[in-house]
Order: sequence, then C-alpha cells, then structure tokens
Amino acid sequence: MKAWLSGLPREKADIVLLLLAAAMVLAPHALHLPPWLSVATAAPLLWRAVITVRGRRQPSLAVLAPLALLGIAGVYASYGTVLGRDPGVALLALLLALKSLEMHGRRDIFVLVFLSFFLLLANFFHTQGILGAAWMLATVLVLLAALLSAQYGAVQPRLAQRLGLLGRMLALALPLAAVMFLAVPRPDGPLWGAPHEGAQARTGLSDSMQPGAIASLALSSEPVFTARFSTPLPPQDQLYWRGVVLGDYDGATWTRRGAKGRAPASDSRIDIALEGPPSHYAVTLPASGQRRIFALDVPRSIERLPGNPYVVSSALEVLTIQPITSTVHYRVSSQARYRLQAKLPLAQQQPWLALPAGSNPRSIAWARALRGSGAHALAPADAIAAVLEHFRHAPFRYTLQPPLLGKHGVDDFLFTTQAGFCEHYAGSFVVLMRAMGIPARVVTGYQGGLRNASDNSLSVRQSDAHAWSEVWLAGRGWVRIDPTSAVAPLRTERNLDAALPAAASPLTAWRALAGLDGGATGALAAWRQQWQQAEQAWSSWVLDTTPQRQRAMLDRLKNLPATTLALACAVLALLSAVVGALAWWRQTRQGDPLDALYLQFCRQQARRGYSRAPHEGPHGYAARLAAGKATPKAHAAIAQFLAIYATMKYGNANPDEQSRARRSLRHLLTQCR
Amino acid sequence: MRWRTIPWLPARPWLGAQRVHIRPSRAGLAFAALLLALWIAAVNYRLGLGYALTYFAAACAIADMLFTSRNLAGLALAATPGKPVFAGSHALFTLRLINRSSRPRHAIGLAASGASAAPGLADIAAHGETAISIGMPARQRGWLNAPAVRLSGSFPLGLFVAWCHWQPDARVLVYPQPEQDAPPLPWPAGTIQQERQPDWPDSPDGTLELAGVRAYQSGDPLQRLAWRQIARHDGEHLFSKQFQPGADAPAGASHGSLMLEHATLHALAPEARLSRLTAWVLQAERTGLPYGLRLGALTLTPALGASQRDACLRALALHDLPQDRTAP
Repeated sequence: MKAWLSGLPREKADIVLLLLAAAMVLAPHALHLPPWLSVATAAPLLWRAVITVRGRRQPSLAVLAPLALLGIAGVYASYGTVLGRDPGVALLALLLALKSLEMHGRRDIFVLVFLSFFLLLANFFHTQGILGAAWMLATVLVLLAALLSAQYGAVQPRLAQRLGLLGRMLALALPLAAVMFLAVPRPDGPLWGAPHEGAQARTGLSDSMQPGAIASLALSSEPVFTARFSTPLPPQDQLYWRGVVLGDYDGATWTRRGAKGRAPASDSRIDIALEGPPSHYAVTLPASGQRRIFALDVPRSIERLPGNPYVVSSALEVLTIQPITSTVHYRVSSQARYRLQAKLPLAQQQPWLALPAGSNPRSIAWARALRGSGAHALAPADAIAAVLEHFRHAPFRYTLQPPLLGKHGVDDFLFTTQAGFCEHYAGSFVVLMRAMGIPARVVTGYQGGLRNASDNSLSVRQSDAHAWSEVWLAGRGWVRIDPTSAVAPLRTERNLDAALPAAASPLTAWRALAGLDGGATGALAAWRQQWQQAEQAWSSWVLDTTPQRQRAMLDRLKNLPATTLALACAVLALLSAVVGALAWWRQTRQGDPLDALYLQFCRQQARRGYSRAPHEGPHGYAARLAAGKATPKAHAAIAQFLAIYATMKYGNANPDEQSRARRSLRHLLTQCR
Repeated sequence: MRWRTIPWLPARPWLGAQRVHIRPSRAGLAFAALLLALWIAAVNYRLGLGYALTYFAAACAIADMLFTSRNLAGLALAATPGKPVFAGSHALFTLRLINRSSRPRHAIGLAASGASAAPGLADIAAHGETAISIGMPARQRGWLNAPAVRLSGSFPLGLFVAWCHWQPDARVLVYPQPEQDAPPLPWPAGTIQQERQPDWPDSPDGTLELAGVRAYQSGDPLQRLAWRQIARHDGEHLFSKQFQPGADAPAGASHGSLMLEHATLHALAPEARLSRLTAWVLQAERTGLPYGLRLGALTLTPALGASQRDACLRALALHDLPQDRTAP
C-alpha cells in the first residue's frame, strides 16, 4: 500500500490526500445525515478516487449538474425544505462531494478546503465531546497537509518532510490559537435572531409527558447539569431533581397545569415547613434553551441568576424569565425533610383530582373498588400502600421498550401489557389515586446522578430522567411516592442500568458493552468514571466559555499575588531569552558552510602572519601565499584548498559535489598549517 | 556610477526581511471571509469548539503569513553578466537565487518587466542555489540593463503573497544590428586588381572571384553593376556583382589591410552606418583580412581575431552614446 502510494504521481497523490481529508470531514456527518445522503456523498469521493488512480477523465458538467439537482431535490424530500441549518449542512456536504468531481486547478483545491472547514464546524452542532474534538484536529491536520502539498512548485519533498514543515507551523499556531481562545472576548448571545434550531437539537424534559417520552431521553447519555456539594452527598434515593409538575391529563398526555392559557400562580405564598440539616451545592447548567432550572427536593433558597430572574410556581417548579442560552451557575440549599402545603383548601385540591370523563374505565372502576366506600373505605395512606403492593406483586416489568398502548392507555398498561417505564408507573398511579379521590400529580425531573467522589459532585445525564408522583395527604401535605421503585427498586437506589433487566434487548446489551451507561462495577466502571471526569473538565474548560467566565478568569489572574506574578514574568523572560539565543545561534551557524571553512582558513593563515587583505580574492590570496614561507606540503595544501574553494564558490557545482568538496577542504585545512 | 532604472530599487543583492512585502492573496481574502463565517456560526450557536476551530484556523493563517515572508527573506541574489548580443535578437540574463540558510525555499515565482517569457516556479534547496534565465529582446545598441525583477511566492499555504523587487546589477552589451545583405567590403585600391576586369573576375591570377549577383544597394560602387543581369530584367532592377577572395588567394596574404571608415559612409543615416560597419566587421573577420576601424575620434589599428572583432563591435555599440551609458 505504502509502495503503491509513493509510486503515485504527485498530482494524483495530492488529490488522494485531499479526498481523504474530505472523507474525514464527511464521516461524522453520516451520524446525522439521512442514510441516502451519506451514500450520495461517499459515492462521488470514491468515484473521484477511482478516476484519479486510473487516470480517467472527470465527468463533464452535463453529468454533474443533473446529479446536483437530484441531490437538492433529495434534500428537499428528506427535510421538507432546503433552508435552515440541517438542510443547509446536508447541501454543503453534497456540494463538497460533487466539487471533488469538478476539481481542476489550484483554485478548486482552495474551494474544497474552505468548504471542508465549514462542514467541520457544522459537526459541532451535534457533538462537542472530546472524541469529536480529537477527530476534528486530525481532520484539520490532513486538510492542511493537503493544502500545503498543493502549494509546492516543481519540487515536492516526501510526505514526512511536508508534515515536518506543517508541524513547525503548528508549533507556532497552537499557542497563538490558545491565547486567542482564552483572551479574545466573546459576544454574549446570538448576533441576530435566536438560534431556535440550536435549542431544538437538545433533548430535555418538556412541559408534557406521553408514554415513551422519558424512555427516549433515557437512551441519551448527554450531560444535563452537574452539582458540586459542599455538604455530604445525600443518599441516592433522595436525589430527586424536581423539574416539571404535570397536573392536567387528557387520557393520553400529561401536561403542565396552566400550560394551556392559565398563568401559574406564582405570586401566592407557598406554605412550606422545612426541617433537618440542609444540603448546600452549586449547580452548573449548560445552555438548554429552556426556562427550567433544577434543584433537589425541596429548595430552600436559590441564588438569583444575573440578568435572568426566576419565579417559583406553587408546585415548586423554578422557571427563569428568559430561556437559558448560556451556561449558568447557581447555588442552592435544599432540605430533604419538608411539609409542603399541609393545609390545602378544597378548591385548590380540585384541580389535582380531575380525570377526563370516559377514559380508562376499567382502571377507575378497579381503583374505586379497591378503596371501597363509606365506613369501609381505606384511609388514603392505606390505599396508597395497597396500590403499591399491587405494583409490587402483580407481574409488572420495567423496560425501556414498552409495548404499544391503545386508546385507554392506563387500562392497557395495568391489565394487559404490565410492562413500562417510569412514566407509565407514575402516570397510572396518579390516575388510580385521583380515581380514589386522593389529590395527586406527576412530577418529572431527574433522579440520581453519577457520583464523583473526588470532588464531591454529581453529574446528571439525560438518562437520569425520571417521573414520579406526589399525593396530597391532609396534615402532611404533598408526599412524594415513586411507584417505579415498587417495581424496580434498583432504579432509585442505584441507577437506570441496575434497574433494567440484564440484556433485556440487543440495544441495552450493546450499550452495556460499549460502556455508554454507568456500568455496575469493575474496571469498566472505573474507566467510565475517569472518562466522565475528563468530559466534565472538558466541558467546563473548553465548551463553557461564556463572557462571564472569561472575565472571571482574567480577574483571577489580576488577583494573583505579586510574587507569583513576578516569578511568572521572570520565567517567561528567561524562556524567551533562551529561545532568542537559540535562534541567534542557529542563524550564525546557518551561514554557508563553504564560507565558514574559508573564514577558518583565513584565520589560520593570519596566525601564520599572512592575513588576507579585505580586497583580496582567493586567487590573489593564493598567489601571495605561494610566495610565503611554508613547507612544500603546506604549500601544496594551501594551493589546493584555494583552488577547490574558488571552484566551489564561483563555479556551478551540484550539492553532491559541494558536500564532497567540503569534506576535502576540511581535510586540507589540517595540512595547511 | 551604478545605474538604476527605478531609483528606489536597491541593487544590494541581499533580501532583508524589511524588503519583503506581504499581502493576502485572493484565496487569503476568501479565507478571511470563511473565518468570519465560522466565527459568526460559533457565536450564534455558542459552540465552544467552533471558537476553537476558528481561532486555530486564524492562527494557522498567521503562521502562514510568517512562513510566506520567511520563504523569501534572507535570499541572496546575484546576476551573472550575459554575453553580448546583436540588436534584434534576445539578450539572456542569468539570475542566481542563493539560499544560505538550512531551510529549503519553495515555489518562488520570478517575473521580469519586459521579459519575453516568464520562467516557472523556482525551488532552492538548503545551502543551494538556483539559476534562472530571462530573455530580453535587445532592440537598441548600447548597454542593455537587466530588467527589474519581481520575486513572489505564496508558499506554504497560499493565503498570502510575499513579494519583493530586485534590480539585478547586470547588463549586456548590444551590438548594432548587422546590415542584411550588406555590400562587400570596401577594398582599398591596390588590394583588388580584378575590379577593373569585371568580365573575367575568376581569372587565376586575381585575388577575388565572383561570388554571385545580388540586388543593388545604395553605396555599391558603380563599377560593380552587373549589366548583363540588369538587361535581362528589362532595366527595372539594378544588380551588382559580389566578390569574395579567390580560393587560391592565401588569407591575410594581401598586402596592407582594410580600414573601415565611419566617415566615408556619410550618405547613410547614422544608425545605418553603424549597421553596415558591423556587417563589414563580421565580413572582414570571416575573410581573414586584418581590419581596423576609424570611428570619429577613435581609431582601432588593424588586426584580426576575436578580440579585435569584439573591440570593434564594442566601439560601434557604444558610439556616440551619452557618457553614463558608455561607462564600463
């Protein structure tokens, strides 16, 4: 392969390198582009490679133009539009692939490289992980190598030497880029409009919940936020990060109360009593495009965000006024023991009891029968225990791929399929509670998080998304009930993977194998933890570079003690002096080696008393030296030295002859004394 | 005095960094637009890595700027004097680009103002040198100075163009254009007895024999008119006879020598006189007859050989030119 590559003529090798770069640019896009488009972009590159190697003619514009139109039509068919971010990226990918077939001169190489740069950036719309960055760096290097190779004149050195030159350029460029990255101020927020599509790409909790919504989140290991505790970490089964409270049910979908029309009662005072020791922690929440910030049940105080105040709804949801478009940090203190709205007027209980008429008749009948009526009716706490007992003992299964449910979803789930994810359990539990006349609601948010013992922090991922329920009991207020834990206790005690049955599906088996989820134990888990830490450091250092953070970093620099600063300056000065001296030394040594030898010779003769006059050329000098006093052998050596020097200096010798001549001059120099 | 066509062009053949100019190439301008687009995308979508890519690309461009200028800076330049040529042909200048550093230089373009053909890109190995020849049409006699040269290069990434101007310190002597079909040499009386017997020019005891007949040119002696040929052409065209030394006449054996006199050609225009004298010098050199030249105040005593020829041609080339153009 290597021999074949080195045997390729230069133009062909250049094009193959360029095609490799283009393929590397397009490869990560295959994860997001429609499959047909991935094929449609790979095919022209392959075609061009074959044309190049075989030495065929490139297809004419009459072939390419219909292909391009076909591609545009395909993009339109796939996305429904050719405008916007994702169709735009698809079109650019297509353009890059087709441009490789219509590449003739140096100008086209620039076009191809510049297009590639833009597509590289487009890849960051989807992922900005460490691996993505490493791939980007590798791709940029190949791109630059291809661009560099095209710039040589008639002589092009071997690839290793070209890469060496590129390395010297990068040695200069990388520190420069790092300084720019850290120091160039960044504007806050989008330059125009709101990049609604940017938020669209992010997954997260929404204001509604239908069966399957959270299960799809659970497949994503994308980090949501991290919390760093200054107090001991609470036990795993108390880590309920409250998100959205859903109260309205239409028989299929749970929606946030007041999401349709009515404003949330945010101004009314919330009756809440807190006891026990609080947990203090700081949350780092990357831009989500949503208005939600998360806190552990239940928050006592949340630090205000600069420029973006929040409101707390009566159901204890925390909502900011504006969507969060940059990473935010806030401090929270939460208390695990609380009494929330211990006294709730009957009128305020009503909304949490509503059920759509006619839906799920079997469940409602079953619930009413379970509770009983009149004097034999079960107390609310006993009714709850009875339902949980039912979940525990009936053959319910916890699965990420529940069977499809019919029109009466809760009926189907409770009596037919009996397999579901947390949203099925929470939703049907609330339906049963309401049927029994107990005020209840669904709460969605995140449960648990990956512990990081080294810095006492938790990182919460989309796969930690969870739904549970709250019931209102007279005198105790809203009480959290997690029906999922009745079926899959491990879900709340450990995490999702522990709760899922082993190898329940090929997908979960693959995920476990790939270590995408928190593995249970062993080396894999340790490795995963390391990776998680690295990713967290990565996201806080590289991705999370808001203007505020930049300013904070510069402020920290300003607050450094004077001695440290002086020391740093001294080290820097010393380093630059060393670098400068090195450069000077190299420059002085870099003169023509022939001249250096001549200079050495002249100094040697000067010591003998025959210093060269400034105007004297080698011939005149030779004549004068020949007349001087020396042994015959030295005379011969001197004459030979000057003859060779003059031939090399003023003749037209090739490099080989020159190096041979230098060797003999060095030898003669020892005999001239 | 050192001659320069453009006063500010330095003739010192060493390219300091301060003499290398640099500007973005067209591709560089497109790259700047690309950087702007990348930066806007990074801002609008809050892409941390987008900023990283943008700044990395920008830093590469800055490194490219430095490397592009370094590709030219520090080159030593030298011009080799070219051989004299006749007006109407091309003068060749050989320029030497000498690399005294240990890094090779690549893809250096060289363009000369007024040169007939632009040479390709030059590469210079570490501690090596490259010679580039440029041809200049030599139109006028006298000294022809090497044209101002523009060295340029956009290596390594092509985003910037570095260039510098250089006035090579070399010139080529342009001899006057020899007159085509010049009349035969003006033999002084006594050397050519056969002239008086035009009907038997190839008699064995003569020194010249008839070489042929050609169209009459002003200045041809009337005795040489080829009446027979003129009559054959109805008298509309004049022909004169051409002679050359007979094969039996030993070269240089003739007594005395030929003196080419500028003053005798007063009937011709000044440049035409020089052209004819040039042609005669070449002819005399071929003939092997010692010849001298009297050119205004200057007199070259008759002699034969390449040095005599060059001296005569040089005198003809520089005749009557302003002082600063004749100085050696």
